[in-house]
Amino acid sequence: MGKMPLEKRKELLEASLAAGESGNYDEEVRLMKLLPLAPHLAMIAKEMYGKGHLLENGFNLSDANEEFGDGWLDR
Amino acid sequence: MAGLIDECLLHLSRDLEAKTQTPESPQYKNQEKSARPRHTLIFLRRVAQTRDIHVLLDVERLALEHTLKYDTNSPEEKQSVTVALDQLDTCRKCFDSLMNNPAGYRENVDPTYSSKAREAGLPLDAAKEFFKSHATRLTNNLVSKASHVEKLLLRQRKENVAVMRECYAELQQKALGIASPKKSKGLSR
Repeated sequence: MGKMPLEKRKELLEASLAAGESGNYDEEVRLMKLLPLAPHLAMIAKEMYGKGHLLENGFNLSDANEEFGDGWLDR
Repeated sequence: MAGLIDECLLHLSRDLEAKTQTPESPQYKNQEKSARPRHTLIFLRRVAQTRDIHVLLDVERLALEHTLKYDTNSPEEKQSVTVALDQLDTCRKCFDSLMNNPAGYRENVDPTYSSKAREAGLPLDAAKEFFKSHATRLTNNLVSKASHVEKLLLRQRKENVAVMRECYAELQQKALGIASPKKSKGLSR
């Protein structure tokens, strides 16, 4: 899976901000999870909480996969 | 707990997304002034309201790790964040030990502190040292970081450290059988 197109990222960014603005935090979190997690934060989360935590909680790891290459979660 | 930690990751990531998508556009500048700090501030305030030291420490650790990997401009700054992370880990150990074995704290730790190394009768242990030095570190960052957004977030992080310090002191009081002094304004539930 390649990088998410910029337009889609903008759309998700705006939608998540709008959800937070209206106090709908569950929706805000759902939309934020659709945005690719920044690679260095994905790496920090892997180091702090393990691979399973990232995979089980539905983060979008596409940018991290692109940055670190296949199998980074197992290294 | 995991919910708030996940949210912290997502907020840090979205803040970067907003910054990298349109850093020069009026839209982003507007976010700088309103939406972005408001959202992340609300999140950090929710973290403070939990009064759960594990969550507060984990969120602060994520913020520090994020700074270390993404936002340090000099070797000195990097060193300062590394020291903060070490102190935070020691603080967590103190907290776990105080929480899991209050009698051990009373019998083995408390007697090793002289009256000069105490605050309101409570030992100024490694956890207290972290709260103090980290608050100073955040204050120093407030001076050096120019952005309005960064200042707002740093002030809230400082508030969260104050909440940690207060929760920790309550645990110390409980372990040592000391009556709690009058609570400071704005930090009680």
